[in-house]
Amino acid sequence: MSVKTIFKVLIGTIVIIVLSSLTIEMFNISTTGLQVNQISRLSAKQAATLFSQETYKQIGEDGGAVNADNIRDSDGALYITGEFYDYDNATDIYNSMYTSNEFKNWMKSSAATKGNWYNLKLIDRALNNPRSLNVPFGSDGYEEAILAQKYKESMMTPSNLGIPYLDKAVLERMFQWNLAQLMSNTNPDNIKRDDNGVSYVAYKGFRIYANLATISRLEYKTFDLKNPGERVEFNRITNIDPDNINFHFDDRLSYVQGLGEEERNKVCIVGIEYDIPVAYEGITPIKNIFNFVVSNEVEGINSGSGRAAYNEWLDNTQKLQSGGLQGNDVEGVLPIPGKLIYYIIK
Amino acid sequence: MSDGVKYIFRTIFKVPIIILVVYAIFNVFAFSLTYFRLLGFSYVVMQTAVENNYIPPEEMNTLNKYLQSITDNGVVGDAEIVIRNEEDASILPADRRRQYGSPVTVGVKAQYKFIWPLTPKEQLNNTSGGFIGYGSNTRSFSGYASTSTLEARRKALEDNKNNNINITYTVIGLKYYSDLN
Repeated sequence: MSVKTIFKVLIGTIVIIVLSSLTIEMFNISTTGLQVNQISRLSAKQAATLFSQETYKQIGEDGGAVNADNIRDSDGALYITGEFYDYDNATDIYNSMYTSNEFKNWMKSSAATKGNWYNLKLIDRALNNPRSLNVPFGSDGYEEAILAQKYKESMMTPSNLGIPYLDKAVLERMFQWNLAQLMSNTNPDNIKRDDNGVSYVAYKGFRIYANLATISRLEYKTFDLKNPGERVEFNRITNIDPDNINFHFDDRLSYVQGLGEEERNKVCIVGIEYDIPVAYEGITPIKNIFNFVVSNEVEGINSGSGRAAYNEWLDNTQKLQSGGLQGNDVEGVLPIPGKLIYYIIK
Repeated sequence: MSDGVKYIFRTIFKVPIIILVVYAIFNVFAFSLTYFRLLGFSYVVMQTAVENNYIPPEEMNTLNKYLQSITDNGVVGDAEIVIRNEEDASILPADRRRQYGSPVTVGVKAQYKFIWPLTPKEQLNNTSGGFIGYGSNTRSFSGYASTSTLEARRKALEDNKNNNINITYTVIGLKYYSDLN
């Protein structure tokens, strides 16, 4: 074999490897990028559903659960905890979530004040203003105070009233857990550490930093379905035609109940926005080839003295932002960021 | 035959073959890339249909925008989101809402245009056996097709799209709408 042939084969092999690697990466990004977006949306959506199912209340012989399994990385270290709540028993969990500043602030928000839900205010009163329940028997407001007390004892929540209030911290833990499990295929070997010692989930060439994923915003919006303009907006966001919901708005019933108005005509919707740090490292040896080439620069080349290799394949982390009430209008890091809403129709 | 003549003949055969091989490789690459992109996109379309039982207008706009962005090139034509089941008329088109558990057929289809050298951009069968040309200059050359004839032929081809990429799914909607029976 001549020297010329050897060089031909050598250069040809390198060119073929590089070109085929780049081609495969193009295919991979164009298909897996969409999957990452869809899986992340599913994780957030299911987290909202799980939160509203209030599994912590159902502990008993029939089932129920407070915590899920912890997720560990390939070294066996804890990656994401399965302890979604700050406490282990239902009463403490309930009290902590609905006496928190987050809930109190939400009660003052425009979504809650616009809703003006009578029963929700009773829950808030029982939990956050318990002294107001000391009403003498037979006096005005006694029955209302008893009802509020009963709501507290039975651990009534906004979800039970059809109001999709979500505790951000708990939701975030559920979201991270769902994301890590789905992306890692429940296999700890797929949870690795980068050069900085930060763990990530390896998913088809992507690095998904599931433990750093956050619920960036919970945007609540309350619609008055008696208002024609708001009905149109409600229809646009939920695809539900309010004309056919068939609530049977009956003001006489509201009068008998003393509520002032039918509560079900105020529907609350929450748009869930989230951020996930992601990076792309590829599935082919192209990264290693690149690093090998740039790490072997000859010292002194290009008139540089003492020059060391400083180029490297940068695993730049980008924020995958998606969800929310208007998610479709935003171009994201990965294609087709969708909107993500959650609501309960009573 | 002398070596010089042999060389000329060899070159005459070799050059077009090399050109054809290069085009074939390009077509394999471009077709694969197009197919995988559309395959990934079709999953998103399917998931949207499963989540909503249909494809809502806002989502349809977003999906169409993305479809346009990946098919806006010279090798893909007639790309569109499939919303109808051509074989089963009982399944409603995917742009109409339906209740939980109802089947919905969605997907994506497109025509990959294979690129070959010396291929005219517009290939319209000349049924009259004469020349094919542009414009209405039918006075000088009776073999030219008139503008209206060309338009009619284009329309006929548009109506009989030969979509060689067709990825469809029939799935069920998993969303309950309280306003539907």
